[in-house]
Amino acid sequence: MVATIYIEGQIADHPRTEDIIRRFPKAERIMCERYSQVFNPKAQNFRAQKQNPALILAKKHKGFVLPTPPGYGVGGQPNYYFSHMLNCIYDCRYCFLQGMYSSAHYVVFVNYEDFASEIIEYAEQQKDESPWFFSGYDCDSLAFEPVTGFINHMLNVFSEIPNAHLEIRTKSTQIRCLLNSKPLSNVVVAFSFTPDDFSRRLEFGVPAVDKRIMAMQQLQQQGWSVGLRFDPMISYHNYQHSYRALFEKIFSRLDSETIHSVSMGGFRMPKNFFKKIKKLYPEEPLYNLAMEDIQGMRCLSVSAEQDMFEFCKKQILSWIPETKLYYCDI
Amino acid sequence: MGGHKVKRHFVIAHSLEAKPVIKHYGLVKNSSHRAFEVFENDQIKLIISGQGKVNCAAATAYCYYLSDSLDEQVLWVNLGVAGHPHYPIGSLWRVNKTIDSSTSKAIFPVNVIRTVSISAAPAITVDKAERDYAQDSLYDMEVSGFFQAASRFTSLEYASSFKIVSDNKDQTVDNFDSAAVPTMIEAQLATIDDYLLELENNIINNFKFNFQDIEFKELILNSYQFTQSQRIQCETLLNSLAVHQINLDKTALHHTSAKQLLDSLSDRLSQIKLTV
Ligand code: SF4
Repeated sequence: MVATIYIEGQIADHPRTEDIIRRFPKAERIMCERYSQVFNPKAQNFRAQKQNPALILAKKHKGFVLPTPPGYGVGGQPNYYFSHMLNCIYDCRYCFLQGMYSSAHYVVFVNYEDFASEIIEYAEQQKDESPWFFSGYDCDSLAFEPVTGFINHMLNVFSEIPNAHLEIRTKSTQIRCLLNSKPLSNVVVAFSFTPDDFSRRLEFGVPAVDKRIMAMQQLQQQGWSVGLRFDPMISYHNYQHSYRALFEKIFSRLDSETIHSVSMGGFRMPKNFFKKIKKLYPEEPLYNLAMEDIQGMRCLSVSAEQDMFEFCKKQILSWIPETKLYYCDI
Repeated sequence: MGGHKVKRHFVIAHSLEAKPVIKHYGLVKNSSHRAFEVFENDQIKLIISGQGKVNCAAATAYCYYLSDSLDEQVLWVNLGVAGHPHYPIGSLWRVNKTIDSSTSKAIFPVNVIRTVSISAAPAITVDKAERDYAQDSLYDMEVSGFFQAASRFTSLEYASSFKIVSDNKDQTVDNFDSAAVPTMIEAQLATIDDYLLELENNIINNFKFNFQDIEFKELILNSYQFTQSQRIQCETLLNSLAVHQINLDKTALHHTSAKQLLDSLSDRLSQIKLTV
């Protein structure tokens, strides 16, 4: 699946690099000094690369943990995010990563211990608070887990810092590392959903809705706390029928008691990312809808989305109490 | 922008290297050029750069400005011979990294082709013919200049360099028989051609623009007095409506002002919901 691997010289002998490389024995290997030499040049076409992305193994030097943008969170404070990986093996047409990066290659930072140290440091500095750490901001947290083993590493870390919370945000069903571990009360595995028909049309490579629900059921049965992320919510013809069916399917199969949180968010994207993606996919109807600019973000026109939001909110609240429902604003 | 066939621009250092390519594609010399020799047919341009990375970069830039339209989709190809410590004479390699030996600057061409496999290797661009072959790498005199220039005109997926090994430690550049070059290159052209055809398909799949009844669009754009930003806004709206397969009728030509037309188009667009 990975045909080319770029390797930073400084981590070429790292045991994790060697382990990952071993998984792709036929891949072409190319040495580089810094991952940015490969990943950052502007003269790249994200869409063309997405058909055959390479893997870049690198070392991250700073900024392991960053504050989340305002409006991101599920009730706790303060909120941070971290990304051991840039880009995603899935291909959701609405994904902002397409606009953020010039390259579709997957970057994996192999120095997990440095992420862990900074997380522990933040948690200790804020002993009297309950900081949240969100994984899966610049990638999908679990989709590449069989290759990286990153979340497995982080579960050990979070088992030692009970005041800190970890959200593992995903659309993947790669949950083996969780099923093989003792559930942690400070970890939430949050699955993102859009309705079946929408997902099939705009979320390429993402496991089917039913498979994701089954993964959530398995996790709940084992004692893991799960979350639901309905984000982005985009109104479309017949969304009422599709969202009603989605909610029915999810909430009737899951144990509502151990659902940690549910969040809803609309389609929003920094203007410059939107412009870049529209150039990459000029034929994509999503990027040719009427949009509004709000605080530097392109959003679907508020009036059109408001009805859908209200409709979905009402549906969700028929299954869970309002205290568990959060909104991701701009 | 739509409807163009993907073009190919070959940048080749020496006429001996170019000869089999000119023959393979039936290219004809265009004698109107003085700065460089240029051969061409409807789809292909081949420019002979002369030796060295500076000449190669200059020829690449020159070739860019020969395009019929700067919007057309072009595959850029550098092709030639190179040395390597131990790769067999006559073997074909796709360059996956170039290093300019004088600046150490590296460029990483991107391979998006899965189906046609050509072994890949890094290449070091040197200023004088290499005799030590110190690193496990191809040695040439042009490729870094090619990618430096080409990456200004295209993305790195659509610029490729192919090297055929002409000398190695057993058979050094001093024993090299240049008369063998055309045959060496000719032997690899079919494989290179398969690779380029795949790349062309990739370009075609990735650049889908032509949604529009171009003539009617032009008619609308010519029927009103737009400011520059209004004109851009109008084009964007017309494209968006076309993506949603909204066909405009002649009433679009009969608004009293550009502003009224834009309001009407915006209104149409705001009524559209996504269909999945
Ligand atoms: S799963 Fe998430 S990160 Fe991956 S492509 Fe989809 S939206 Fe982007």
